[in-house]
Amino acid sequence: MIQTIIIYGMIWTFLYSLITIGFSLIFGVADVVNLTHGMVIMAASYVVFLLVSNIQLNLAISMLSGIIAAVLLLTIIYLVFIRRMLKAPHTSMLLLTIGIAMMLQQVIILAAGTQTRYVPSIISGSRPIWGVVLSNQQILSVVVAFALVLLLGSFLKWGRQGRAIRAVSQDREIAAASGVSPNVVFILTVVISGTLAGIAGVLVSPIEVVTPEAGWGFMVTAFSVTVLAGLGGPIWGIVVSAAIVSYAELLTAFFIAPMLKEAAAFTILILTLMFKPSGLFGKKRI
Amino acid sequence: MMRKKNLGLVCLTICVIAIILDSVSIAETTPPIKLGVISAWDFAGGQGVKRGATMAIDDVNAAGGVLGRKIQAFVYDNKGNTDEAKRVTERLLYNDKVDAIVGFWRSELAIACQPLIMEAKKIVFLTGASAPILTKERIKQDYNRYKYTFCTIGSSDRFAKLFSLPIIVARDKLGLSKIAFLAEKTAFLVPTVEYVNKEFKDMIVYFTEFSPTASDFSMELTKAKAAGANNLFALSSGPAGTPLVKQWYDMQLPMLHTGYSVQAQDANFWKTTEGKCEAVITAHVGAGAGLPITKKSRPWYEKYKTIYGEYPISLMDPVAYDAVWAWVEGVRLAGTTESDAVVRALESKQFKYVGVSAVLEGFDDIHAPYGGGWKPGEAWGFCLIQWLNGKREVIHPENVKTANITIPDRLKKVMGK
Repeated sequence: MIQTIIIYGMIWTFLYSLITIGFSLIFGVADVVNLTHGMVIMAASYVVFLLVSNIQLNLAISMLSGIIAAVLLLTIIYLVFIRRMLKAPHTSMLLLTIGIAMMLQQVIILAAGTQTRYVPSIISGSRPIWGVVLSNQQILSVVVAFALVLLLGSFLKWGRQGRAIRAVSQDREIAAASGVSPNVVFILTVVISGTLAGIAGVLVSPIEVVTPEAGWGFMVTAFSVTVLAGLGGPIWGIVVSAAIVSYAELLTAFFIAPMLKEAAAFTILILTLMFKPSGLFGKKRI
Repeated sequence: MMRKKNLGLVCLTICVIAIILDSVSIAETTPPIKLGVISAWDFAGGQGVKRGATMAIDDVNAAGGVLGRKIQAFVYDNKGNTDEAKRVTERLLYNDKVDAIVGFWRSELAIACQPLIMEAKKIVFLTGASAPILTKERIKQDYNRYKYTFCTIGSSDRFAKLFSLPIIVARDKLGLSKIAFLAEKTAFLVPTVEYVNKEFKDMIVYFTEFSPTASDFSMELTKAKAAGANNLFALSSGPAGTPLVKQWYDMQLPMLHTGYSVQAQDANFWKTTEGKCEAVITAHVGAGAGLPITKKSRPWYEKYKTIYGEYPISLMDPVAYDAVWAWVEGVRLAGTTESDAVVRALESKQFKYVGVSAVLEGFDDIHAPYGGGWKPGEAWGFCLIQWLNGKREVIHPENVKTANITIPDRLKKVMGK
């Protein structure tokens, strides 16, 4: 039983990290609380579902289309709406992005209905890992998520553009004075965030179910993990925070009641805001 | 002579034409009877209500209507949401001014909307919403207010025994006597949960409840395995039934998956689960599985496929079909659509309706009938189906089974059988 909790905790740690990093990046770099992030993840899942089930398109092409759609969607949201309000107070940004998220949800409902949808697995079969049987789809999802987290961590630490992103995140004005264009960095961050959201959507959808409401669930996860990790911290800080949230959920489901699982993320969110507003690894107060 | 004869023939023809034209004009000018159909279209059960009810309305109209009037359908989606259900119900009552309403799939929504319909003194034929509070409790408490409520599938406390059939069959046929009992937390399942927990107390090694929208069962299934269960008995009416089956398969648990799952009744379930539902057993209304419950069942089943291109997707399709016809029979017997008269007709001993899913012989004082027509003791022709090789096979009762209950080799291996 302990192995199962440990293994499943690891799976959700990396999937939650993937779901969160994009949201946290935009929050840290552009100071934008982008509440459309969960819906962008869902949009990617729905694109895959619609292409596979309605047009019978190849699964790989459908998934690639889902990722591209997520990048385009987030870029459009940024260019058309968010960019114009970068200097607006946080409350305005929150209201704006909640509004867009709700609009996206309605578009998804119009296109695919409110019915629960299912995306087929990329690979079938299952195998035991440390005595716990996992589907190959779960293993693939966690391996890809782990690789992406590593890749992004390396990019932010050693890549030229990555260093620029970190510089803008730490101090926008000094970075601009050093020749880094914040606007270019914002766009780059949006593209990275959209890519990660798209990949999260196509990796999580075969494991989970696809519903228009699921976007809000992803948003709660991303928000809780970001608040716990804090802003401006290292990527591994997000991974550690994702681990805390995922294990808290699993332990709640296991020892208290499965129906209280989601409450664990909210509890962490509330406790962090009350007692450690800068998060575990953050450099500024949220 | 010949001339006279021709003149008589012409007069007769004119008279016949006049009578026909007159009756046509009466039919054209007679206003239709308005019937509201309400359900959550994006759920298998709700879609089943919509399909079954509209199919019945078309059949009634094709047969000439009722009391010389056609039925005009007002079909709305309540989106499985209480606020939307109330809004749509009020629209049916006060905007469309319907004579009666058929539908509702989730008891929670019907519980919220029933007072609105009763206030308007309109008849409601509930289809899937079957929590006892809707019929026997509220009608008994305040007959004059709630007497307009009829539930064609009966009160859900009567399903408890039927829904627990998989436990008995798996125990008697396969010797599986350790149950992990997972139940969706919904109003209509409350009596079944209480019944199973009481009647099979000694067999239950693990019990928990889950949300109708749950999508991760890893911890519940881990605990079920640790408790040594060999029969995963799950009750679900919502979408959670699908991820539960997929995870049960992926985790290669040493237990058969049985129970009651609206999702598993769907003819498309094999495709949805990518074949992971192999060996899953669920209780089902026999007519929805193609069984000849009455003489009307099989023709209806094949006609359904002609219309919708697939076999019935849930137990709701035949039940909603029968709900419309039962109301029509009540109207016919009463000779009017006036609610009080129709209630009296439905309650009378003269009322008898042979449906596709059951035979209804008079609605009793609680308006939740015990549908017969299968064999004594088995209301609504309930049966057990098992998914085998991509097909829904009937494994119980014995006299109509299409296959024997089976544990596939994959499962035998993990169960150590």
